Amino acid sequence: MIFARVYNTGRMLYIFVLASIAIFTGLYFLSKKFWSDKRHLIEKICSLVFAGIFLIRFFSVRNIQTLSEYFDTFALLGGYQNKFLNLVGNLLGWVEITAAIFLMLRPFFRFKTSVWYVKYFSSVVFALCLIGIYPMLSMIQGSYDLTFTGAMLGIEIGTGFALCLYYFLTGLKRHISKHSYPEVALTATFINFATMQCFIPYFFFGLGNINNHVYDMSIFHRVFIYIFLIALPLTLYFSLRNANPVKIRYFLLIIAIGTTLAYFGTGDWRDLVQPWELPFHLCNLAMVLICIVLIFKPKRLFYFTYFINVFGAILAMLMPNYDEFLLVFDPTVVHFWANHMIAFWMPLLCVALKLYERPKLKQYFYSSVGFLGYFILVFVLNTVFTAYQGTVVHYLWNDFTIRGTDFFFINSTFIAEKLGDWAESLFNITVTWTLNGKPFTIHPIYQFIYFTVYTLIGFGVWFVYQLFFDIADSHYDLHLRLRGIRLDKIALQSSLDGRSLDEPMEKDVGTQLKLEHFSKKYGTNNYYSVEDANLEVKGGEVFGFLGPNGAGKSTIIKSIVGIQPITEGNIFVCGYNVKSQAVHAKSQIGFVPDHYALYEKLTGREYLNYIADIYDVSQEDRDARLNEYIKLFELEASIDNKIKTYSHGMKQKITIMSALVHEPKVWILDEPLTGLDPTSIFQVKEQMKKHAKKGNIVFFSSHLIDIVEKLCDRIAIIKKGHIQCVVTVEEIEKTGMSLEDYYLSIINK
Amino acid sequence: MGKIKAFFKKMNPLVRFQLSDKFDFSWVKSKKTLIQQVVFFVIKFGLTIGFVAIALWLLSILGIINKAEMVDLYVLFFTLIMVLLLLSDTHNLMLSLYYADDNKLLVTFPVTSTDLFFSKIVVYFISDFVKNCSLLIPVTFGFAIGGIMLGQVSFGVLFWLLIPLILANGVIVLIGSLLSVPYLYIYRLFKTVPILELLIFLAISVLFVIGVIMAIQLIPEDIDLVNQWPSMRQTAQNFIAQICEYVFPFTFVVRSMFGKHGASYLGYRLLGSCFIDAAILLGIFVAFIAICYFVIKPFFFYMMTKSFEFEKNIVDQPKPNKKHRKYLTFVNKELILNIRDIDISGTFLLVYILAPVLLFFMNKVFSAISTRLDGEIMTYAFNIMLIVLPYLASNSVIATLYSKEGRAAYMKKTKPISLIFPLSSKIFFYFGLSIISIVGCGFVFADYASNAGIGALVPILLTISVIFIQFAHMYYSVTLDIMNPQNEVYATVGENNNNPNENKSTLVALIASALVAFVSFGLMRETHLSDGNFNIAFIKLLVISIIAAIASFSLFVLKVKAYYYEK
Repeated sequence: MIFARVYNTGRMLYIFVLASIAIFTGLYFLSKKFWSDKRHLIEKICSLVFAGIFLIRFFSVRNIQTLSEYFDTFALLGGYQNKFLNLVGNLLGWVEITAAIFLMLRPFFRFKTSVWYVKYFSSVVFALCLIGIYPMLSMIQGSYDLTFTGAMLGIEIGTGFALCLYYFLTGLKRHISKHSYPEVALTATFINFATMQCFIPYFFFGLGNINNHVYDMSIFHRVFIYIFLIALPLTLYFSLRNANPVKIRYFLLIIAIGTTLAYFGTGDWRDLVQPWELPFHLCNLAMVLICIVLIFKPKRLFYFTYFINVFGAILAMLMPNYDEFLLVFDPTVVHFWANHMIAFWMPLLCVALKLYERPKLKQYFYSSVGFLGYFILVFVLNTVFTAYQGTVVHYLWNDFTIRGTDFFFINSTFIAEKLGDWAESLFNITVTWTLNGKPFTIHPIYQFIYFTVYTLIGFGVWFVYQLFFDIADSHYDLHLRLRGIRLDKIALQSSLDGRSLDEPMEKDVGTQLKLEHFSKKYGTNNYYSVEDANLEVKGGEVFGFLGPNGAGKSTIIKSIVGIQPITEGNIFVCGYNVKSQAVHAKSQIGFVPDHYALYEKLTGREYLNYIADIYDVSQEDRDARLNEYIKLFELEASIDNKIKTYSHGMKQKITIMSALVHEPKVWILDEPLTGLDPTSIFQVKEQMKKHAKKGNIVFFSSHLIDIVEKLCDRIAIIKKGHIQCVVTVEEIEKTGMSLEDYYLSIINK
Repeated sequence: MGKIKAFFKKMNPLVRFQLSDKFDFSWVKSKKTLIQQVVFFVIKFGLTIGFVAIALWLLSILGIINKAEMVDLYVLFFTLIMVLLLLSDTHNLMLSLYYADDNKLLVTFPVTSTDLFFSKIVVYFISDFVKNCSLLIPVTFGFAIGGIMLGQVSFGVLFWLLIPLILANGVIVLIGSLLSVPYLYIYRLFKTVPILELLIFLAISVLFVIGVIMAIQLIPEDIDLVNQWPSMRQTAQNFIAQICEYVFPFTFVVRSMFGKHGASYLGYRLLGSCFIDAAILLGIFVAFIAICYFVIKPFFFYMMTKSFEFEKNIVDQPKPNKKHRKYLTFVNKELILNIRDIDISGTFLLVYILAPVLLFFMNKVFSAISTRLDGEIMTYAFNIMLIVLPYLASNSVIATLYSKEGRAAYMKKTKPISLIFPLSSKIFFYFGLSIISIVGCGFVFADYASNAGIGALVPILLTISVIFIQFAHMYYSVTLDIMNPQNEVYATVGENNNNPNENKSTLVALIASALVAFVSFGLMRETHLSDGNFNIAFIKLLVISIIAAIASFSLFVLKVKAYYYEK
């Protein structure tokens, strides 16, 4: 008997399926022949037609009337078909929604992943649906009969299969790369999780243990759910933050459509034509709004969901409004959490992933106006429907009974009860009037305060979201920087070509300081402080660096010694790259800054020993060098006094000594002679010459042109961040100008 | 009149100059940050007021306090705050008047030392007022609103009480400036003979410990809060009334703020005499200005410039050069600096000595109270909070460690060494000291828990957990300093009264301590119900704290790698 029914219904079903396949395949050939240049447009039209068929089927009437019938139909308990068929039908019904969404969006989002989803997921699912269409139908509508729903399902599967076939054939050459398998598999699984209908957990876990009711859950269970709710968007955020905006929108849209369909999964078209059944609760409305926002990108609507819905969802999750005597996997409970989860984090994710910019005051203002409109709407609907509740109205070939509503909970004591007696007393202040024999009641003070407080808190939580976004941004920035460091290391390894990381990047260059297209930009400035600087200084040279204040001298020096990072280009010290071999490069440098910077509570000797320790100077070397310098700079009497007791010049001397204690190959001095007495200036100059004579580099900046002229072998002049010239002193002499005139001619050019 | 006008004309740029150095007003420029700051301030202010008002109302409803003694309770609070304010003002004014780095610049301006002195006082008073906006003023309003709710105080008080309060604050600042003179001499003496400071510090610590032990002996053997409450309340009432008599100057100010108690009516009323009291207060304020003018003016300039000078020791025998291992040298340097800078290490020592002593005292009180299981678990959770809070709160100093080095910190970047070690070595000294103190707290906790038959495992696990939590928060605090360095402020001004890193570190310390106590309470309750002991709860706490420590240290390492050279 059953087989006969199956056969008859199945035969009819397949007629619809095959007809759809034939029509769409025919269309494909026609379009290829006549409209090959409009392929994308036709694909989009086909997708929209498919979406229409899918939605008509999705919202068509189900013959499930009672709760027990509902449970029998969806649960793995048996019901009127066996457990295996129930399982097959239910799983196919679930994954077919995901497959359909992939198919609908495919022509609108043309990138690899969307192609792969259709080719490797939707095609397989629709092929399986062709086989399992019968159990699927019985699960969807709760009976074996071939109804309008059945016919539509046949058309849907046929159309879907035909489209998949088309995409499969046109995308034959676009193979998935091996390393993308896990990504596609994981994301497809995740997306299926989003499209899960609210009865699926119930289907798998059944009635379970009779004690597992909502009221059995402890605060720790609730905390676990909250952690889960935060972990989910975080996972999504970390997976998508490197993706491009189109890809981000694609994934969020799939999730939004999937969860919205899951939300409407238990009803049919009749729910959509009864205004009192429409999703006017703030978080239910959010489901629909998020889809609209992601499809059509209306900014103001988005910020409405951002300011108003998110906060509503948080409150709702803190105060769930379902019956606590329900089972924990009851569709209502699952429905509640899935719905509010999306309303809570979807708008936040849109902003965190930069699909929408961070809101400004203007957007809050528009959201508040929108909220006022929404509030007035639900206020009117609640008042009218409550007045007319129980009245039967006839339209669209059906009798409908008007139900009293409590949209946004402004028409009941649900929220007031949680706030205490004072709130309930406010609620009880009512104004009632009669119209057409029906009593219309409003709660003016309660409802006004409700609106005002909600608007203000909506404003307040703005800053809370901002805090989280700042954390997310700083983490992302950290991630990018660390990736940059890793890439630098890889570049270093490859340029060393198998040599040890301790060896200089540039081989056999000896003592050398080289700037290669060096540029520096500070913070978020949109201009370079130094741009494309190139310079090469060899061992044995005393090199002078001249330029007016703010020209970029200190910027270059600070980048060489490692006080600040390099924006572009490279700096090499004795062949070591300052960017990627910083420690090795620095061990070749001795630095005298423009402002002495010392630990004033140490004695001069303690400080010098501290620096010598850092450079690992042996006991013999440090004794010899320190004794020499102490004598040279006449610090014998004060070297064991605390630095804070020193004069400016003495502090500068300590700084110079600390830069020389390790005999650096490159000695860099930034305005070193400021504050020194004439004897010390002479000693420093002598020391510079002596140091260069040993084959080392002395690189120094100064405004004292006379000294530079007498001391330097070569000179560079920098102006407004650009090196103007690098010349030898002889070359300047040949021009017949003094260095001062030469300098002024360059600077005033 | 013309002279006064000229005086104020001179003061205006001086005050503005110093204020812009002391406060960061950059948030005023952006509409968004301005709104953000205002909203946060209003919320914080409102919440404090609401909290105090509701707490008072509840305490009164529950019969814990008598609503008629509410104003006396405020006198107690006001006295405590004013005494603390006087101590901190004296210290800070001494630093600000005679040791601030900007003095070197200010003395070169064409103004008299009187102008300079009063500009500093005005700037200090403004910064004091800003600070008071976060506690004293909202709490005072909270008391007023609580009083109004209880029908004890008249509504008009809200519009009046700020005037006497500001005047009183002004008087305290002026007294602080007077006391800063003798304090300066003591400070300099301590700087010259550091051992003296250490000895006095130790003597105070010993006296404190003796005081605590004496107080412990006063605790009765068995406290039954419910039954003994009426007599205890009476004792407390008498005690507060007596205190109010002793601290009559403060009682006088409070009466002029809230009004007078009358025989013919309930509560306090703002009478004409309150305004006369306020006028007297104004007179006292003006008198102190005059005293400051005549007492400090003659030698303000001398003392201010004196702090620029240092006496040198003539060293006959040069000391030898000493080589340390490359990494050990940082620890060595920090040790020397900390020992020589008693200011910072003293603060830490104080916290680290006081924490176990106070815990011991509190546990003696807890031991005397008879509790049920939940109450007992609550005392353990409270114990944990008392252990964690002081250490974490003291870490606010850690959040300024690198910045306080001023420009010397930049030089670290030029050295050929991985920076994690030199940066970490700055906190080794404090971390080492805190471990000793935490272990001390662990012993105190073990002693208390042994009364309930809890073995050694739980205190050991708790001690290790707290060490990890302290480690996590220390690294969190130094990371704050790395991400938002204040070196230039310290290098130019020498101080930063509103360091955002310090504030953030303290806020996180408060939240973290409460969270640790709350989580411990939940875990203890849960495991006691299932296992009958707390072992698993403390193992879980240890795991959480290890995760926190690893996360905090990893973030520190990563952020140093990614940002240190740029900041």
